[in-house]
Amino acid sequence: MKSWLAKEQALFSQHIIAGNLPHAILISGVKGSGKEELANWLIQVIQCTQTISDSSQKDILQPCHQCKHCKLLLKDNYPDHSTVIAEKNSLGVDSVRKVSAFFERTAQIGTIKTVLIPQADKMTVAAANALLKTLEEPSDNSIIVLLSGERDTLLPTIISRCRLFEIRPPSGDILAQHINVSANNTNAFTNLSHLPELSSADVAAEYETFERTFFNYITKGEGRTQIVKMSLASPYGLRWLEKATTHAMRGANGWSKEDDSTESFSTLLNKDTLWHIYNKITATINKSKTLSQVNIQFILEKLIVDIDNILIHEQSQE
Amino acid sequence: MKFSINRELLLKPLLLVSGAVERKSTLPILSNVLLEVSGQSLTLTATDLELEMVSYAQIDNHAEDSEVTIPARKLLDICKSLPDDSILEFELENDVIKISTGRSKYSLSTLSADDFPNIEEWKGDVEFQLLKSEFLRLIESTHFSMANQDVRYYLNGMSIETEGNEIRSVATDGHRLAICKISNESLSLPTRQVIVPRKGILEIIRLLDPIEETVKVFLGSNHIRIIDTEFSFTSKLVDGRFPDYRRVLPRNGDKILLTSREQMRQVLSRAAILSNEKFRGVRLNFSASELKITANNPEQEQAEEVIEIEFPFEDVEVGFNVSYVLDVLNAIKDTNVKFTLADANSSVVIEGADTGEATYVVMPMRL
Repeated sequence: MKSWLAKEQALFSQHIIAGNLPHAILISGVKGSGKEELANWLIQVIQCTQTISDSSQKDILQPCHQCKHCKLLLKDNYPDHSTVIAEKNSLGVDSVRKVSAFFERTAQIGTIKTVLIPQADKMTVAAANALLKTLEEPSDNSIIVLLSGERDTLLPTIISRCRLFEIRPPSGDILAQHINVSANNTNAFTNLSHLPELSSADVAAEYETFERTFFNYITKGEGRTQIVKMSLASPYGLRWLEKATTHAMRGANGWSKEDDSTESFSTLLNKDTLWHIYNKITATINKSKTLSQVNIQFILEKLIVDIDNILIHEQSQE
Repeated sequence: MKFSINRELLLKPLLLVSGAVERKSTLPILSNVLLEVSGQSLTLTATDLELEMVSYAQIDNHAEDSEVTIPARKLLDICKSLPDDSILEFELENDVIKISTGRSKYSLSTLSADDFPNIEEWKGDVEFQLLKSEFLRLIESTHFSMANQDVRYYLNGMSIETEGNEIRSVATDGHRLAICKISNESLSLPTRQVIVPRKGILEIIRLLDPIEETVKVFLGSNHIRIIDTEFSFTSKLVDGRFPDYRRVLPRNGDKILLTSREQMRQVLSRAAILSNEKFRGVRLNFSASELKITANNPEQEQAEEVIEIEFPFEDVEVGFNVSYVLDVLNAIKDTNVKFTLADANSSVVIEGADTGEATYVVMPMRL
């Protein structure tokens, strides 16, 4: 279990002991933050008939892994729990109706019925709407747990019906102590969304090249096609654009403590221009997440054109 | 595990439990049947996570007690197609169960009994015994009024209630209501209500024979269990609150009609032929000496039936869904039926003329 989850675990344990666990729980956090781990632990503790607590962490309940309920859960044979997985790119309305039907019957061998939806952000609008009634007023002894990497992409009507738990992993050096970092490239601004670069030296090197090309492009206007190509080739393209821009902004504002090669040329750029670019990039990222059939190449090229315009505008002002 | 059993002794309990085996299940273990050997008895358990069936057989045990799950469908097919009176030898070796009789040998794969989601020791909080025929009458008098896949999911089942020396069954789909009461002086029960899902009710009807034998019924917060000599049947309940049906029983009925059930039934089923196929509406005109029943359909065809009645009240004209009335007339066993009416916009109460066991309420239709 990831160590930063202890706070949430203690909170859930308290609720379970007091018997006032909310019936709709939405856990959000970036990839790698351990939300699946937390949800699985939570469901095991809810269903276990004789929870125990470690001597080291007294306020955290743990499943016993001995009773019939625990054994069945580990084998995915537990009748009073169901995990709803998206069979395709999206979670359809039929799967959600099954959840409602599941809650209509009493529990089979335990007392509490639980449902876990690990990719709640993949629900279609129709599916999310079909879930609303169940989410608001499930039958007694029913608990529904939603997980989401991007809470903003869920319908506001879903969010408002859930008790929200947001996992905020530590950042910077503290994070580096918790996770297995292979490349020595952490700084005070490192956070868990940078996990691919942190855990693989290859990806880190790839990012280095990307950042250099990007800086070259925004300062000198060179390598425009290369940027598009690199962003498309990498699965993290859009995020890297954002990361590189924030890096440049920190450089321009002089927030970066470490001696940085970026500082030298980030002074070439106006802070306002960087801010405009940053806004364009985040808007594009939001679009790529909310639109289900998005054409990544198209929106990337559009983004680069927008950045071009901003740069030209700046030059003309000078 | 090593035991032998006669084919006939195994086939009957196996057929009983195979009804609960899920065919298109997401959990592979649900297509298996759990075999538990304890001393000279064998317990078979199957479940589809909504119903659980347990049955028993006597065996010749050659080894120590143990338990295992094996594919139910395949075991049943093998047993069915073996010749009569064969003696089957079961032997578990590692994860394979070997079944042999004469020169036939089969080996089936097994899954661990620990993974089988059967309900272990369960005790209901309300327990009573009654005759199978009585219990079946309680259910059959009302089961046709249950809703089917209604969004008000608590109507998709039958409410079974205990109170003092009375057991009641109530079913409604929002348009009609059926109540049946059975009282037995020897009972003294706490007040309790459970909603048994539609599937469970239909299974109970299939399992019970209308004979003068007692059967034990247990009600708990999550299950209903019926224990007979040969089997034990458990169903999950519907997790919801049944509506307060007492409020829909009409109290303003002052016009009472007594008539022959069979005559009424025949007349209505004839008139039903020419009613609108979708809405099934028929018009009933009650007057002092005759009851006129008319039905018409969108093709402008018309049926008219008249029967002699004694109705010393104001004339009433009221429309009904004829299927609802026919269901009621089919369920009532008395020779005469009693209709209690108020006016064209009030529900009618239908009862058997002699026994007051079952009461039916049918809402009128505006024609």
